[in-house]
Amino acid sequence: MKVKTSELNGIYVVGLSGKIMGGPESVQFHDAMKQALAGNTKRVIIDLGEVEWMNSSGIGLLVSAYTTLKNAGAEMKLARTTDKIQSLLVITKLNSVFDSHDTVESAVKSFG
Amino acid sequence: MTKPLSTEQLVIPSSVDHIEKVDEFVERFATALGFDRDALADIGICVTELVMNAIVHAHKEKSDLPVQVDVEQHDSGLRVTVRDHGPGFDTETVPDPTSPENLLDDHGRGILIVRAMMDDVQCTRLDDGMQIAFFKRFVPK
Repeated sequence: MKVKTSELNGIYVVGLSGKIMGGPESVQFHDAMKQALAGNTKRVIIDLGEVEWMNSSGIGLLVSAYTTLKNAGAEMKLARTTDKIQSLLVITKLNSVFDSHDTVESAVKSFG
Repeated sequence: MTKPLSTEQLVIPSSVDHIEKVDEFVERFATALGFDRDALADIGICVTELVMNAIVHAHKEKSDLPVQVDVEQHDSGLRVTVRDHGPGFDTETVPDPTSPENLLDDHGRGILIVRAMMDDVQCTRLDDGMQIAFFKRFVPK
């Protein structure tokens, strides 16, 4: 897994790529979330368009980020969720929790 | 189950540093059997799921405890078995991760995902650990 962060219209965008399987590189994702919180970011988009697949460790990272951000008064949305990840969200019923968008731009607009 | 046509085995220490090695090992074997990209993703998700479970939950990342992964080629598909030396658990009584009170837990979805993605899953509690095997059928072309 690779983690790339950027800012778009004041929104913190975390781009993930590769396979997310719970290896040591998960620390990079946690660091990106800490950075978002340290910057008092209120709006975060997780861009999943370049993710090949993720297992439940990856799902756990998303849930953990969602909960941490929500507790800090911030909002998190998913963008470019692949068919494979969407099927996992349906299996785990997390499609009822996460707000997913086809593009980063539509996720940005959805913040209003 | 009939005798496999070919088998390979990988044994790793209980460290998440080795999880990519497991994925590469199983992906190479499954690719040679002709599974397509979508099926390879399902297989990768499920084997890393079970191995992470063994490393983190069963072995508490004690690196001296080995995790064994066996892959078998059969006439009708691929069988993968993950064996650990932890205390074991009853897969029928694990909390439902999709129930509202558990929905935001950051773990506990592994078996649910493997059962949903694979054609057959067998969980066996052994005297000194746990063995979970899954089967992925070849899709006729």
